[in-house]
Amino acid sequence: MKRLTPQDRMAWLRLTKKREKKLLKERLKLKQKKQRRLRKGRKKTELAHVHTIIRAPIAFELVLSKNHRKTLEFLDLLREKVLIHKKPVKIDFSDTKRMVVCGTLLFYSELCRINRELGSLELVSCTQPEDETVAQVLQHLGILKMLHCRCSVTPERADVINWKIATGENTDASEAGKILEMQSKLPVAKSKKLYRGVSEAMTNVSQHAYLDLRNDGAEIMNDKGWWMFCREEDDHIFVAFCDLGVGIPITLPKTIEENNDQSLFERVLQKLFGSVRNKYSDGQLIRAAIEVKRSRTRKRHRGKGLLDMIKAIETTGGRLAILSNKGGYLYNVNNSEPSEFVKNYKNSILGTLILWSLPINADTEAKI
Amino acid sequence: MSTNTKLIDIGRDFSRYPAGRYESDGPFCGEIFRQKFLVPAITKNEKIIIELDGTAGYGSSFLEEAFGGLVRLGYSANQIKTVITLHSEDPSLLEEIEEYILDAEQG
Repeated sequence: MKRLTPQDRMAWLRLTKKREKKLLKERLKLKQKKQRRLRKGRKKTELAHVHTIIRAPIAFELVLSKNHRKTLEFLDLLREKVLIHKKPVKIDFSDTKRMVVCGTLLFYSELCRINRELGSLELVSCTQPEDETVAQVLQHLGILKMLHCRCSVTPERADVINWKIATGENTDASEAGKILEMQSKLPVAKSKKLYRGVSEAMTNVSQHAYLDLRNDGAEIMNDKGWWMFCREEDDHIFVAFCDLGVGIPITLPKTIEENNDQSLFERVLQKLFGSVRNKYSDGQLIRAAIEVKRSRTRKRHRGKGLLDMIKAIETTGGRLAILSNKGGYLYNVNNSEPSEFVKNYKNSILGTLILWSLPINADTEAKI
Repeated sequence: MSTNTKLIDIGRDFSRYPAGRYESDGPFCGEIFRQKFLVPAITKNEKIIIELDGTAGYGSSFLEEAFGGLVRLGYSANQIKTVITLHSEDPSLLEEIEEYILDAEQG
């Protein structure tokens, strides 16, 4: 073996050190890369758990002012977080004690709209409801499944399993009609009157409700659809029908203009409110829309949908509530005596919801 | 019923769930019913009986467009009444349709 000269030995040592340094550098680079990857992964998992918690209202209900405000504040927040900002939310149902047909229908419709627009409800989850009946209602309607909540509760209460749902986009009324015909306690004549009201509500949706953008900032171009709940109790039938369109107070001035009904409209406003003003509340505009239909003697083909909704309870007794944007119109027929009143709310439902409450026996007083 | 008279049962021949006014509203609207059953009968002067009772009900838009719409197409109330006989156990339904035809003629 050839002996190395001192110069060669020095050169060899320098080379070895250089190689070790390079190796160390490569190892360090690999380590840093691995750590970066780990950190990135952790961040992603952490982010997935950063969701806003939204507390659901005590009562999903829309007729009483306090419940109306609470339900709509909840829905506004849900829409804003998920639909506008695309942020994950978790709905906390621990306060919720009552699921009333009208409020539950609006909640269900909003969820369906978010689902259709975003392609899924991935961003919305929920806690398991504490109240047993609330859990059963949400389970029965499929809302817990939509919100990825694995809840083992089985809907078995009679006042829960009789909730029926129909949805659609046009006036194909087969699904809704079948549900009305299925109500065993509902006499055929009453069922036909309800069908009249529901089919006209569908026609209104098809012709007017979605002509403009909904005023919620989501800018959804091809918004459409209607949703219906029907619920039979021992002595009452509740039917609720809802759309998430622009609302009667917005469509009314347009239909008045289209039909050349300006002078009739002014006469109606004069008769109802004493004078023609520049601004009316949404409740007053719903009331005026009904009065315009009543006062029209000719050109009936221009539509009398709202009157058909009233007709559903006029001879049989019952209650009708029309909620549209910030307004409410309530029509009550008790012992053949009709009474009507207008209500205005702080928040807008951003759409129209019609609720019929029909007593099954003629002597039972209607409730909403 | 004369042998020349054809029976059209809306619930059986068209839909048990008629609804809507125009074709754009949906598949079982008044306009489609009118064009499919009423206009051909009037054009051929073929007498028909319309059975109204086999459905889940009717909205005013459907009825007005189906029957009042015939007047807007140019047929007179007399022509319509000569060809079409309506049948229902509910007399208010028959009155309502008659009203739509007369209103369309006056309007």
